Amino acid sequence: MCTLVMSAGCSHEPGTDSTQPLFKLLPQEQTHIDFANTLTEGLNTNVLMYEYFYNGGGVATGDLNGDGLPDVYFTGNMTDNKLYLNQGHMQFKDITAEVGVAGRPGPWKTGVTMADVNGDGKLDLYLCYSGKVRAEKRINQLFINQGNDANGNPMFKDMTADYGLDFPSFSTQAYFFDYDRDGDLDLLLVNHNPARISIIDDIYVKDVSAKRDAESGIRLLRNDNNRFTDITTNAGIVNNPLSYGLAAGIADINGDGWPDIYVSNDYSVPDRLYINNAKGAFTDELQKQIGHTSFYSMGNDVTDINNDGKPDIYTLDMLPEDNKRQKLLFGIDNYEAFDLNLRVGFYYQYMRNMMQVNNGDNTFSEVGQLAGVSNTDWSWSPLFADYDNDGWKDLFVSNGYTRDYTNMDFLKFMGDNLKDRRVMRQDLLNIVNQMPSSQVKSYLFKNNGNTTFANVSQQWGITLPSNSNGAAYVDLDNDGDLDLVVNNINQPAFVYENQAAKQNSNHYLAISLKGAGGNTQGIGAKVSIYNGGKRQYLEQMPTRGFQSSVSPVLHFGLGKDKQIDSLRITWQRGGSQLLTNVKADKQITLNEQDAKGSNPASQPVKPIFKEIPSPIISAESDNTTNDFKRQPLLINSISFSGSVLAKADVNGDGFEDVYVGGHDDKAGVLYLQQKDGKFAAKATAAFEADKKSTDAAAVFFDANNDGKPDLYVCSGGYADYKPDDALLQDRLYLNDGKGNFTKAKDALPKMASSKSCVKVADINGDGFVDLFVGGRVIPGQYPETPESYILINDGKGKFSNQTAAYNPALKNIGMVTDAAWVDMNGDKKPDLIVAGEWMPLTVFENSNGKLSDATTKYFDKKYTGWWNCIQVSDVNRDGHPDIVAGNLGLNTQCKASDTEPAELLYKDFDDNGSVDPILCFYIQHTSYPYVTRDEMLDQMSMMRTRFPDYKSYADATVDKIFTPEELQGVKKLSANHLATTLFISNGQGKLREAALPIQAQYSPVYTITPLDYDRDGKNDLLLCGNMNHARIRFGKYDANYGVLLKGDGKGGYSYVSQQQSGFSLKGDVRGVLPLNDLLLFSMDKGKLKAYKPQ
Amino acid sequence: MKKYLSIALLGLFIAGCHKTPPQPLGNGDVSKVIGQMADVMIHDVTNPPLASRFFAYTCLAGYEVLSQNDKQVKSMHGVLNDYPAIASPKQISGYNSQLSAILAMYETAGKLQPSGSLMLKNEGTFLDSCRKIGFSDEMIDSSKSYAKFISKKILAYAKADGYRKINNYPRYKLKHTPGSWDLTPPAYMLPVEPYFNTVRPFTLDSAAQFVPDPPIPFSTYKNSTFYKFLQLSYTKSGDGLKQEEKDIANFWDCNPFAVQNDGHMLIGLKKISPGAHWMGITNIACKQTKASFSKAIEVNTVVAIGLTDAFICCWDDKYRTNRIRPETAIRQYIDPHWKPLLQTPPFPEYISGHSVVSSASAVILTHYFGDNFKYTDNVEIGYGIPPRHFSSFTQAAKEAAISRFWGGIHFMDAIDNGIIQGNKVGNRVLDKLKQKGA
Repeated sequence: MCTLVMSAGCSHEPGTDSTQPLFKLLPQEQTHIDFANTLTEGLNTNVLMYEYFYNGGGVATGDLNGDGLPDVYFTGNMTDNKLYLNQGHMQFKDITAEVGVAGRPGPWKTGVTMADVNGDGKLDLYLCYSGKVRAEKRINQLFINQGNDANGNPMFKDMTADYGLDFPSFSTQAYFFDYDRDGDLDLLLVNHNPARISIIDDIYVKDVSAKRDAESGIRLLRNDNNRFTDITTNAGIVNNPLSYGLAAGIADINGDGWPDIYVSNDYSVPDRLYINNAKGAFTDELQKQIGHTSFYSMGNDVTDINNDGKPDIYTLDMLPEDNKRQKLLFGIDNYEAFDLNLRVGFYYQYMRNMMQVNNGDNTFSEVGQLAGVSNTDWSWSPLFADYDNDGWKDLFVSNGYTRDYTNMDFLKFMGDNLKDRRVMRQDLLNIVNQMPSSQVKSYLFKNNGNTTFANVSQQWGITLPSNSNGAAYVDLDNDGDLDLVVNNINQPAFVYENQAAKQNSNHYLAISLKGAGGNTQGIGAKVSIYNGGKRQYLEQMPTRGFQSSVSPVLHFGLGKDKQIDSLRITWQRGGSQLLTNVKADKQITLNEQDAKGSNPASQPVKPIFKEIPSPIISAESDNTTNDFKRQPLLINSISFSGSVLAKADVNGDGFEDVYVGGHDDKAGVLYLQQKDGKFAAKATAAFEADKKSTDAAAVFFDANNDGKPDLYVCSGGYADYKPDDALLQDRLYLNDGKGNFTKAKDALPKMASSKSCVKVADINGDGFVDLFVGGRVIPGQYPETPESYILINDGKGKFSNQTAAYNPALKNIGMVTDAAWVDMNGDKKPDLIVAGEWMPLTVFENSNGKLSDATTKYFDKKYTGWWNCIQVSDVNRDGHPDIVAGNLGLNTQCKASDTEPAELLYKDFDDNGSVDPILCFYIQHTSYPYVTRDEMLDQMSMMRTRFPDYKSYADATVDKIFTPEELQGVKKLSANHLATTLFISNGQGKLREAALPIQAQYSPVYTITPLDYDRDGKNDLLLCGNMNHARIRFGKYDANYGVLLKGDGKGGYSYVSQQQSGFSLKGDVRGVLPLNDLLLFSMDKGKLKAYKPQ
Repeated sequence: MKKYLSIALLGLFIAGCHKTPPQPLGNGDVSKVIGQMADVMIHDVTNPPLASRFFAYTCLAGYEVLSQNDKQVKSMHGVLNDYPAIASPKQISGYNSQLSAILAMYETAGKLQPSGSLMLKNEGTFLDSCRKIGFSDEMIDSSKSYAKFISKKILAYAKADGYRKINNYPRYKLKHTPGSWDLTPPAYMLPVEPYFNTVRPFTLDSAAQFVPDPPIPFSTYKNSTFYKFLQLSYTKSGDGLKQEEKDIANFWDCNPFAVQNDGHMLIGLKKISPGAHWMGITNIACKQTKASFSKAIEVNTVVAIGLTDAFICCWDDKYRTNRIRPETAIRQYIDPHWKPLLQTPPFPEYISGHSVVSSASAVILTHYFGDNFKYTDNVEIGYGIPPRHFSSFTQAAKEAAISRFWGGIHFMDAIDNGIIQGNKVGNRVLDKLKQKGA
């Protein structure tokens, strides 16, 4: 029967049948689930009296009466809770009143969880309370399942006091798990402060952090024979009034067998990553392992998102998807307030959902924007599960807020009606009552299998706006797919029936667990399934998402696989069992008693590289420059290029010596390599004299034809220089052959732009080395085009500017970041490739004393990007050069394509002497300025009369912001390609895009280092970068820890995991220098790090 | 079409003479425009220095119309820095100069203020009421043409004062040195107008013409003067306040935007700025003395000029000294839970802006209305603040100054020196006017 049904569904691909979405919203008449979380607002019951008035209720699901059908419980904040018994066929019966599990009537009920707390094999129920109510109304309740009555209804008894849990709290949710692996369930209680602490500065935080707060702070309670003992302090859990816990995600995050905890904290209070130290305590390692987090962290989910067997972390926040709601939400980036948060230890928090991919080496790469799941508005419950049974976990996000008071117009203008502060409370309530709900829909995302997701909300059946909060997935009708139950404010709960089993031919495997001892649900058990090269991983932890607990039956979608090769379960206490050739499309039960073996110790991976102390010590500068103070509409900061590195044997002793460039008032230093491989600094007066300049690039070559390597240093920098600053002049230092350098006089023409690179080649074939010098920026005048230079050597080390002769267009080619001389056309003459910000990769062929633009000969279109670097080599060994070019990457709000390019318009619109750069990119197929209203007004005072409020600006496109006259003469830069890209040559030497692993797109790439780490004769690549000094609203880019790519010699690359590669580079890498057998890394503030193969 | 034609013809006949209105306008019409400007400022959350600048240029437009038509009213050319010689538009006739003066104010405020469209709406309502009392459409049209002509000249003068160059300058960076200013709770707003000292003053040689004595040097030594000042603020402006002191502090709060922070929900509580408060007092005095229309325009103009120059030199001090606010210092060094009675405004402490602008205004108002001028200040009655009675402008200014100490947002030296600086600014404005023989 079953097979028939499924084969009938074969022709349907998931989600492609427009008439039948994956999820069908079942009518109340069918389900008889009539629960609605109805809120009644009044003078004493509104958001002003209680901060979390609109956070909504929860959902818990599980088989309470042992009939094999999961039942459903809803909490109502003010209305009565409801328990619905599953009667099969998607029909339910309200048995709340009969079974003694209603909880207390009235406010304020929050989270609910089902767990077998006393280990008797029957699911119990734990209810959380909060709200601005008396303490006795805030005692959470534990209902112990007493077994079924004669009618088969499960009967409950409130045994809170018997278990030692009769204390008041402001609770969000309770999590039962076995933190000490002793076989019973302990309790993590996630609480929150009911009032907003608005004074969050170093003075206050220091003071309040020292206070314990049992009611608001998070607590850990140990189960001692069904009595709970508070062990919060001894267990290292932070407990103080600075607590806005909205969720915890529990899993063995670091894979050591002990459960760890991720805590979401709302507002500026930081999230926590509690790592279990296996000795009964936890250490918060968030700031060590994670680069940045959500700001207003809401619900979270900790689960393996990318099928690599490691739990990843996903947290929700409130960044809207559309332009309009973003514009109504954002004021101006306040860097000082942001720094204040950093100063008090609240870390880097940005308002958007974060997807932290577990690198397996105690670091995480946050890739929510790349994945396409960063902007889901004011959202609550994230639930990863394989809804279409294709073998990849998809994502449901509940969404919506009853009163949308984040609107900036509300802040600025509602006060007009609040002049008389004596009547404020009533007035405010009136205003609250006028605020509309956010009117948004929940989201469904399909996992594309490559760390990216597709928004399929509409396709999969979410059509109604709602204010949805707690949610749970569960196979209510046991048909092999996961249904969804959602708790809504002021609207009946949603029951979405999953129709995957009817629609597609995908297979599944459901696993129910029977734990031994007190942990009968097997909480903390890990199940991995393997088939072919594929792997999937789940951990048993039903309490997840937001205020809810999902089905305790583990569910794997198997795609087209009718069976799996093997399944391994490892229980929380360590027992392990291996099953092979497990057939699909059924529910199997695994018993802890059968797990006689232990988990074979995983082979410790020996990383390929290992960090060692740098042989050259270079201290980090204390530069606190903020480029956005110089030009507030600058897109990315330009300062912080670190210490440039160059090497040569300057004294002819057979050892390579190193020049470490100067910056931040520190002179460049020459380090001479000694026989023992150590480096000794050599004092050089000429370098000292130029220490006010910022070294942006350096290269050793024989400039004056005396056979000794001389040193050319480019001057760059942004924040502290004037346009045409004398300190921007480049320098040539001549070497006497013993490593003594003196500055060459009058060797260089006047070169007043801030530069990025110098590239050497004998351009005119006269035997002497000539130069291309790239201009990066005009300080304070971004994005006006700086000058770039072709410098021709007269053979005696004197260089003349011959740009105009070679190609006048090169002079103002763009904001150049990198270049390369390479023979592209096989005529034995060096051709020039130039890359830059807002520039196409451009090829100039060298012939007859000209450098002619031949870009179209090599590329089939213009690849215009925010290029940071290029690396040219013959990757596929076909005799034609291939190019790898580092770009912004795809893990960003800014998107660009041929049809929807990112654009930068610039002009001195208000004629006040400063250029006004306006970044625009497409959001939902319309190009909008990224600039917020306040930023626009701050840049141009004339805009104040144009946009007196946020609403008037929210939908404005460039043609609505500026008049046609103002747009006359506007200059425009454009970018259609932001991916770091490999361009592979074909037989004719034409370059075409070839795929790089997704990890190449995690973060901006600033260095590309070719190497052959495994000595297989094939070109491998190391990509480094990041951008920590970023606009606040973009957020810092920090997901690249050194991405090692193994080449197949044909242009194909595969990612070598951080665990394997051993690279764990935190921060911004701005230069890499291979030196002897080491790799030397130059970081943004001048620190040097070194890695060595082992 | 026909109608316009006849108006034009009529215009020809009456060329060269201006008509007497059905009834002359009064000081109430002037104060109404000022009051409406203040309302728009509240809506827009215009910061205090910028608000004074809006008042000044708006009043100057009205003043310029009068000076071209009333021999008693001297031109500001040669009095104010760079003030242009504005020739009267010979081609416009049939206007009423008082009406034109008011319209010039509306036109100017309409262009300067962010929500200037509201001022233009007010202008429409004003004209409707003019029609009702018998102003002819011809006279209104001519007066408006005149007003627009003058307004344009004044706006050009305003445009050249350097304000719009400010967004070229690097944004303010916190110094992070001991005793330097830091963002203050609860909203931790960025500092207001750090470059207001680059705006061209009206009567001062430069923003730094009256640099006050330096602030008491910052120190955390218990015996230092600064620490004693700190202790004084802590004990006297905290819980130790008497009810009357609290009332006075609240009376002079004049914080355009105090943010109440309720979770995600921020609510901005608004009040008029110190400048708007003194413009209000100016018009109370005009009303009480039944000042003529011309005098009302003149006094409003001179007070607004004084306010602007006072803010310019005060802001010069603020961002030169970058002194810490009592709230930051007390919480850091004495009591982390201390909260001032008033919300600390978002800019450095030294010197007290309210002390400077109140004193400057009092000097100017005393010149026009005499010392010992008794009046009742009910400017902020709409904000639930009961009226207060004063026996002189000087008394009011002194009270405004000390209120900042009681409010817990200023140290005593910033207040004492602020009064001195304000007196200097007020006298400077009067001297400049006298030089021209006004």
